[in-house]
Amino acid sequence: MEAQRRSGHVEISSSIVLDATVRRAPDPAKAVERLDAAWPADGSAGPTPTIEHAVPADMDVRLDEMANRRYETGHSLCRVLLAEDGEPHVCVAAHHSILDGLGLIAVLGTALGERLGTTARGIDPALPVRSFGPGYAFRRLLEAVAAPPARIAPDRIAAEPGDHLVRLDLPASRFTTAQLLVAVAGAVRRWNAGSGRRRGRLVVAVGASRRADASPAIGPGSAWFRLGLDDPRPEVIEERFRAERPEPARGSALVGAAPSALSARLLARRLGSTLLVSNLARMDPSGSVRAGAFFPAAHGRSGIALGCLTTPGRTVLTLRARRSDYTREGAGRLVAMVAGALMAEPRRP
Amino acid sequence: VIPTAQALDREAAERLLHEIIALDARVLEAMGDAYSDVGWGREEFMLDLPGKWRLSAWALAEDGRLAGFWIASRKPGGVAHAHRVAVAAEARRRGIGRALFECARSLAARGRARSMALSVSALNPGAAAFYERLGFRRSAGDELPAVLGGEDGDGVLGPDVHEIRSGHRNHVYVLHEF
Repeated sequence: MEAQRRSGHVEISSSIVLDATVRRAPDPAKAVERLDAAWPADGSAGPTPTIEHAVPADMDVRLDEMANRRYETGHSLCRVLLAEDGEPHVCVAAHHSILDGLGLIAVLGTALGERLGTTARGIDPALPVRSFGPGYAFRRLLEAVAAPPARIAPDRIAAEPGDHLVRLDLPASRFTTAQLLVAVAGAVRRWNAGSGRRRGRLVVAVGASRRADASPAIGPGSAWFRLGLDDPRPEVIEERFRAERPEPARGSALVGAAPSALSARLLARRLGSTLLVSNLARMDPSGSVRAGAFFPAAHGRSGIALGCLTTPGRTVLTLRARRSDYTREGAGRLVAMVAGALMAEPRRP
Repeated sequence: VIPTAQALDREAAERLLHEIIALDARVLEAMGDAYSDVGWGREEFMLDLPGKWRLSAWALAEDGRLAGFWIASRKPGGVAHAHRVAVAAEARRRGIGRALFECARSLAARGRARSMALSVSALNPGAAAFYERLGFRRSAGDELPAVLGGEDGDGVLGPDVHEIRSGHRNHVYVLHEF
């Protein structure tokens, strides 16, 4: 597939990013050798990424570039950035079509020469995606007309391209994705209430992976679920998770489903979800990663994605938000509200 | 409007916990290491320490939202040690920090503390200048030790009056007469 074609949609971030602080920086030449050996030979991920270098003072700018720069034809669909001075950083970004979040961890592990994994479990690779029969497609279109997913109220309107990336380092905490979703639901409702916005249906896209085990490998595995959070209790959310099937690739199902294709195009902004949440869970304690900030792709009506990754010393919450709709301060406020809801609960270290 | 602060007892802390953690997170997200290397959650804010619920304070902004907090406890030697102090960005330059300090000072005096102490990141000269205006002085070695021993996880302070946290230096400020 041509790289440019994959990164052209103005409302969907193409790059997912993992910014890891590590105990020791890898030798760049050896990291390249390892990546080269592990890189898919079929060309699906483009050429092996080279190692770019940064100094700590430039990390914010470089991270922004890793997330927002388009992937050009003929270039690798993955980027690896190394900052060796001070507290070493290894930052990995990839086009979402070739890697999911666990895939980023696989690339990071390869660069470091370690086998990294998390407690996140992939869904059964054979689990079929939701069927978009006429009945379901009609129901979704009806929803889009009568009760579209709530939008997180923007705090600006600007022509600025790209996304803000904000992160929040918290004490290492153990919680389920359902508990995280409860915190997200509370924060979004409070945010919208503070903006005077009418209470709407919260629908969240939840990132998942089609990997058979917890040892990530370099390669695609993205999947996602669409969950309503009208009853945001962990046990209810977990029950829905078990009952749901993953959604087809973004935007393809309804938009392509005759006879509703035209209606779907007209209602595109009212379909989908309020935001995306992706929890990579808890990383193995034996590796050299001290903390990891995972930035999924901004998504849904709001163009917001919340990421979470826990290492033995830290839980890092991230928020990615479209610059056109949100100020950086607003993005920081929203992720802090999620932290307020999440960290007010008793913690299991 | 003259901002006011009031004592933060355990019951109030429990009631305000969401807001307190969110405010802490907002300040951390905006200031980074100049504030702290990591956010606090329930465990940190609700941890029972000697004198904590008689020495801590909180303040409201004009719109009724939490504008700041001063979390302190009693250390050996009669020191009222502030572990965590924050003021919401939108509430700055409105006297909230001073109101928190005045309240904390009053609570410390009522609790017969002999001094007040806190540590300030070297990355945060604005906060250092603020505390100096309030009468705090950067500590010189010999008064340190007993002050902020580190038994509560605040970091171990060395004899040259600073603590190292995530590679950044924090200076200790002490106020003796209040």
